[in-house]
Amino acid sequence: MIFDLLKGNISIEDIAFSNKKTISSKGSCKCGGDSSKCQSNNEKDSDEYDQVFNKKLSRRSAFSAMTKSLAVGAGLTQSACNPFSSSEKSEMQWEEFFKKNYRLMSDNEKDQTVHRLTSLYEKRTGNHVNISTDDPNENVLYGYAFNISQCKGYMDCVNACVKENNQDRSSQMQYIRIHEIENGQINFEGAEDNFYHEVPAEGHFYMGTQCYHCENPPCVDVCPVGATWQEKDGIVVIDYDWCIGCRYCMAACPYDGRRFNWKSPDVPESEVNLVQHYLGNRLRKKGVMEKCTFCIQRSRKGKNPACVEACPTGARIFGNLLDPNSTIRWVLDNKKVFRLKEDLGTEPKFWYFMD
Amino acid sequence: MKKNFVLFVILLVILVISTEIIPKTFGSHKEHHLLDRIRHHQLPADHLMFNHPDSNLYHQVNCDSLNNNCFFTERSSVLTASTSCSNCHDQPLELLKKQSNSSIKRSHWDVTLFHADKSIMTCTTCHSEQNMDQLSTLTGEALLFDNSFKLCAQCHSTQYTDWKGGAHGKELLGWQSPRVAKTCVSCHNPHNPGFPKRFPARLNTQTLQN
Repeated sequence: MIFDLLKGNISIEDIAFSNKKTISSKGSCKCGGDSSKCQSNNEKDSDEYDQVFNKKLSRRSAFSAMTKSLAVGAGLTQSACNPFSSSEKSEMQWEEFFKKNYRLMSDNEKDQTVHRLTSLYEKRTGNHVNISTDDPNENVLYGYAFNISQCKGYMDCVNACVKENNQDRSSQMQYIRIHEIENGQINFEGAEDNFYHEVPAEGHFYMGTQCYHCENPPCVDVCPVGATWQEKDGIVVIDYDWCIGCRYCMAACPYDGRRFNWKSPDVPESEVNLVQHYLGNRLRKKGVMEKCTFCIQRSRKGKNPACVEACPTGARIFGNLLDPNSTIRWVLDNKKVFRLKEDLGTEPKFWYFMD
Repeated sequence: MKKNFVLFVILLVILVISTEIIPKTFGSHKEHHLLDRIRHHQLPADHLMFNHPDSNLYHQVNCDSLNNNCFFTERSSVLTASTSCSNCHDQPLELLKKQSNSSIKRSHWDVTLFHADKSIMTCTTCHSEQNMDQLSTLTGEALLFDNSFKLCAQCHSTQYTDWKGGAHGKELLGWQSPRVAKTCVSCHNPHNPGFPKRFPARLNTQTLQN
């Protein structure tokens, strides 16, 4: 049972219930017979474990408290052999393991988890990482426009994105895909996705795709654990510590915007971007989803996403849709824009346009 | 006949109630389209959240299409950092070339014009013959090097409109106001405004590697 517990397959109530069952079976109570008698019998039996299991505690905190003592014990034995790793570290790891969903955390709890994450990282690597929990800015709704006549397929955006967002270097899992498409069609099936020749190629244009941060995101609807949601400023984010890796969202996304960590991301320590956001580019682990966050760690501080900054041609335009004076609004009001798969009603906040 | 008329009136009333009154009173007036939501949003007057101290470094120009401040990169300070143009260009180019010391190759001796063809563009289409420290428009009006984008706009009016609005060109600081962008000549060499082909910065996907 303890293994099931560790895997998270059963909850504390399940244990309580199974205990209850074994105890009550001793009293040979037949449910369906005299139910009131059966109930009172049960209550009497329950006295023994009441103090442990029926305490008014949330499931997670009870479990966390139960296992913490175990962890501290394990930590102490470990520290006897290795003076560097402390019981504090294992306690932190356990608390990290049983923390809440980001959306349910109070400001204090957010600070605590950031503190734990930074000190654990510092213990492991010696580097100080800066994890922000900046909330969405008021009166801001981010939007993006992509000029398909300006994009020349230089791929500088992808390089910048990989670096900024601490993406896995070995699997080439990239948030941005650049498709080389023959003039006269917009057909992704006929697009060349792995070009390596001098660009721009004659008779071709280039179209970049990434997460579109839809206004009605289908990926959010299908998540069984509420690990992904849309923030007030329109950015669709993922709580990497809450994601169970079921990849429903990946299947639900009509735009191939989401990526999955099939293995632990491999980021050289010297290349880690230490300026991070809890919902953005902080280091991920094996078995969780990730995707473009409009560089939440940058955009919420007023900067452009890394791809916009890196684009040498100015094909990428980013801004506040609610500001009528912003460049993105000028594009929407003055250029002929289109979005992919408009008929789905997902309302992507990512428009394409031409000169 | 009268019965039919009453029936018609009743049906009309039901129709009006179902299409007009019920949705307005009971249903929340939800904007279905993202663009409606965006356009109906009232931005408070003090919505500027970030201030770029760096924006003071840039030359401010008047963008008549926008209410907010726009800044663009300066040109004249770059060009005249060491010396002004008229220090050398005190006489016509042909005379300069004939001078005895013309064998000494000085600054930008290799400038060749790859911009339109000779019937449309010559040096003096942009440079002022009278004052080499300035540019001149098609009608002969003097123009500072800082405002060179006005020269480009004489022919490339579509690109100029896009650039002014924000659909063309390179933003420098961030997405918020004030907007800071590069000018035409920060990217395009005015004597050779096209860009050569080059290899992409990386392979696109792993398929090729396999």
